[in-house]
Amino acid sequence: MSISGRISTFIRGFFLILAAIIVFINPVLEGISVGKITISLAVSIFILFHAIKNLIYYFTMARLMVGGKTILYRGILFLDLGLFTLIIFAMPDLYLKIIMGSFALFYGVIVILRANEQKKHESNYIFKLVEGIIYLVASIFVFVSIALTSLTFIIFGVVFALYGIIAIYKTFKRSSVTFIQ
Amino acid sequence: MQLDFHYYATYCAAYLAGYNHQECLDIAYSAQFVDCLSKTFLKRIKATPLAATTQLQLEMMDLKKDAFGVQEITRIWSSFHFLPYDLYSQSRGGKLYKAKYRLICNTNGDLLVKTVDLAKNNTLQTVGIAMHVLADTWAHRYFAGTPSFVINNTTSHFYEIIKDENGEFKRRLINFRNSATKPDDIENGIYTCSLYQSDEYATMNLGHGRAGHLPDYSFMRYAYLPAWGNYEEIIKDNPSDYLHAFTQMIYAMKYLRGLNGENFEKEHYDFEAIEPYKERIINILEKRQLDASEDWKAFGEELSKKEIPPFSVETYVNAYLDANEENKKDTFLGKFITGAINHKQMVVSNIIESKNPFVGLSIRRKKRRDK
Repeated sequence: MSISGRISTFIRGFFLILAAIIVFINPVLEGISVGKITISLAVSIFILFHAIKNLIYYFTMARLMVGGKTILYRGILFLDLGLFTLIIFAMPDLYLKIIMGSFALFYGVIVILRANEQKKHESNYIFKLVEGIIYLVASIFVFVSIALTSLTFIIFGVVFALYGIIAIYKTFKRSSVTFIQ
Repeated sequence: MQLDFHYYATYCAAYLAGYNHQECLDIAYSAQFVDCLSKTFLKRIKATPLAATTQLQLEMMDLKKDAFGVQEITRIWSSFHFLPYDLYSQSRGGKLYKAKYRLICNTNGDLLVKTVDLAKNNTLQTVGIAMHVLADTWAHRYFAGTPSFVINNTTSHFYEIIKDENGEFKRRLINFRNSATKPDDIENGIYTCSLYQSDEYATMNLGHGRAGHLPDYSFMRYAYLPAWGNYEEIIKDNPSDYLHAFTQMIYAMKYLRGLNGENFEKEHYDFEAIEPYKERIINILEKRQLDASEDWKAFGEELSKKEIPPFSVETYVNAYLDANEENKKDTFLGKFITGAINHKQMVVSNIIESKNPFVGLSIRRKKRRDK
């Protein structure tokens, strides 16, 4: 991994672990659940990051490609979704649960499909499969719990902590660099 | 291209260039072996992974999708299967797009001349490697040996051009599917291609994956819109391209034997050498079949009056493993490994000189940074 990659991965890991701690504690400030704000902020940043990534990709490269406009449309769609997700903390708990649960379900399915693809090519798929299952289980818990119970916060806290720890591990993992003579 | 052309057709071309039967086998074996020497294979025979001339699907999936992973993929595929045509060509777009555009493979580039010249007064294994690279510039033209969605993607505008009984050419829409196990269906125009992934660096976007095996079938004629082509349709005529590849191989190998002048010239083909067999060769190339090995083998055996053994990756492994360290480089595999490393170094250093970042970091840059 390059130095800039390590720095950005470390920052991501740090903030994910911080988010996990806030979600676990879930303090309440002036009647608003800080855990709820953190979840909606984290998911929103995730979606907005992908939106900006797509838009940058479109304007630097994909606009020159046949059929490249699909990247632009996708970027705009993610941008809308990301901005919408920013305000869901203010919505009733039910909406937050539906959105978070759907997000976890969708992402879990994508990750399991990717694991299946890796399995077909006899590559290491176990980690991805476990990741996908965790998301699916998380989505089930989110959907079945009647109110936004502390269990939902624990699930999101665990997911954030997991990704945070993996990011910190990747930052310090040694990788070989080839220099061409 | 696949085994039918890299092994059997190369044997035929080598024979028509004047090599004897055993020399033809060595060249043909080396040409095909470029598609077999993966890191996994090299690890098994305890040889340097630097010599890798191909990558298995699982090797690519295990690579990280960061700059270093992309560079490792590009070093191998650009060197041996998608030789860049013009490392200094001008295109639209910014620096990164230009760098990818410059990796697009096409025939008769400057790197091809350097590839053939590298094989001059060199081992037969190096000749074989050069013939593989030369042949692939014809089959794989218009694609790049780097994972790139904006260069290698294809769209649904993809038509097979088929000659009917009256000799007229008609278009048929090609149906692509993503099955790794089902064979291509020539009759119904159903072919396998790699999965659509809009991630720029996805390995599905390496080379001609998005066009499936179509570039590797000698009978195939098709029309499509390349991702970089600004909506201009390209018609790929494989029978013609393969015929040019075959005759260029004969010209190149005659040059390597010391005939055909002092320099290897671009755009030179030895059609004279194939004149007595032209109709036979064209029939093989145009026959609608997924594998033309039997036809090429029969042709080769008629030429040399000797049997061409089937290709096996294990043929020279024991000799390499049994040799002691000092003598390993003189075995068949040892010579091939040396040839592969030399060729890769030549191509990669040329790409780096053109300031293209996709094959690796120059050690000179590291030394400047360390100062």
